[in-house]
Amino acid sequence: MKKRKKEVKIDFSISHKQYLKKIKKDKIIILTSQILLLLAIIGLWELFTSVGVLDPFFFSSPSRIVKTLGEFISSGELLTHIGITLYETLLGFVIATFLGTILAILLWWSEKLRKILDPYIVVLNALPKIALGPMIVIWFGIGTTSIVVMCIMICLIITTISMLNSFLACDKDKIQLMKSLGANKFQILFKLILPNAIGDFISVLKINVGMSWVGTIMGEYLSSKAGLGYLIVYGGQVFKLDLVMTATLILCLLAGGMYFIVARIEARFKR
Amino acid sequence: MNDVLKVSNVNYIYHTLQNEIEAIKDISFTINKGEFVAIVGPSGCGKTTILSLIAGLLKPTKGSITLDGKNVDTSKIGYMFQKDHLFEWRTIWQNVILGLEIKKEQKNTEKTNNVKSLLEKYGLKDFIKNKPRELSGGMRQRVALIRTLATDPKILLLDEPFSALDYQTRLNVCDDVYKIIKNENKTALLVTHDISEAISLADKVIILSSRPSYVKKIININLNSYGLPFKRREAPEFRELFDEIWREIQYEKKEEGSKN
Repeated sequence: MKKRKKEVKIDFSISHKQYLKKIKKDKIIILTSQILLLLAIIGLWELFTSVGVLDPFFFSSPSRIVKTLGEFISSGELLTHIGITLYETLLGFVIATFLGTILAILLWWSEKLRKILDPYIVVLNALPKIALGPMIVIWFGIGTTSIVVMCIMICLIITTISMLNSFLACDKDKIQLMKSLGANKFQILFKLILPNAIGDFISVLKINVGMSWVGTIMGEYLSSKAGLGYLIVYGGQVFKLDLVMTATLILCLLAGGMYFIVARIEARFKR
Repeated sequence: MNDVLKVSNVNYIYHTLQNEIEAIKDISFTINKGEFVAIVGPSGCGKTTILSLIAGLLKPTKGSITLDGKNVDTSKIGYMFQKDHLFEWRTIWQNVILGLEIKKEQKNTEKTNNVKSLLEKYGLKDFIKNKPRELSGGMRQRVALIRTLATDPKILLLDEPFSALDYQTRLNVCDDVYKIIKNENKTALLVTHDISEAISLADKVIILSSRPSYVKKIININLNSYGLPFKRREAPEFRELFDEIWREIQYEKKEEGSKN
């Protein structure tokens, strides 16, 4: 990073300048198109609902969403709902990633354990986790705990499987090298296996960002008194599509933001 | 007694679900201090298995291997692989002291100074803060060698260390590695399928038979007067030696062919 700052500006040849210009131009075209697409969707949506092609009762409309959003913000409810869902998601995300990685380390460590648990992991992975919903609600009650457990169920196994595969994919010669330098299993784990898996770990984080939102919203559908998932279900039940759309929109922004943070972390590591 | 490594009547059998396979049958040889020995043989003859046995990563089924009269201790051995296996997340310096770190000697200034002087001597001092990907293939292989030398091993085991390099780099790195090993007065055992490489580097070439492998012949090479490995390839005896080794390995193949 430091090096890049030190780089002096050199005079490029004309063809190189043209090349840079073209890349810059492409970037601008892509960005403008993206913004225009968004504006077009919003504009057409508003237009169709106002002239009556689409019934705003079923489809809501941008202006109604803004209005709902305004009411929510002024009543202070919005932050509570966002806070609850964000808290559940982050908690589930962190616990699942952590536990899943620990489990993967244990399975890497003992081949026997790996073989014993293999069929269970396969079945748990294949099982649609939503099927566990009623059980989770009965065991953990209505509210945050159940939702976080649901979120963990969704993320945990996939984390374990991905991390274990990454650990096992480590070059055999590298392990041989560590052994020939006299390394014990702990040293092989901490000096080779774990740092070697950083790239895959970040991919798992990216997957888990999406998965943990799925888990949390699913958990909130099953049992909740507050949160964005709750708003969506409630709004659906009482036919308040404005509410459903508003909550969905906020969800899009939050999930996108979290993904963006992970992508930034990834960029830092790749440097 | 001048010999560093003594391999006596070593036999190795490995097991698969279907059957057991005799990989090595009664191999014996010795390596003297400071000697550079190469092992050649038909592919699949268990060359790498021999290195793993010497390194103590595998236990012989029968026979014994001693290093300076004692049983092999993995930490007294330096192992170099086909690829350099530098860790991309570590700087060059962190890579070369990996072995010291594992032995918890990274704070031993005498040893780290020794590593520093090696890096300086072999033109890598300016790169200690760089990451491996910023270095050329030849430089990387030199770093890998210094990482191996850092723990001051009694013997270096080289498992086709040049075969992942392109031909030109290979010839250069071959000279470099040879120079470093001789300068540091190290004993080395090289495994290779490249006969020319074996002749140009080694004082002694051990020819193995195909599996179950035994020592077919040991040929002494005396090309020291010609200088570095690259120059030795031009020696008049080079061809003869090449033919001799080639015939031994070819003969082996024919013998095997007639059996089937």
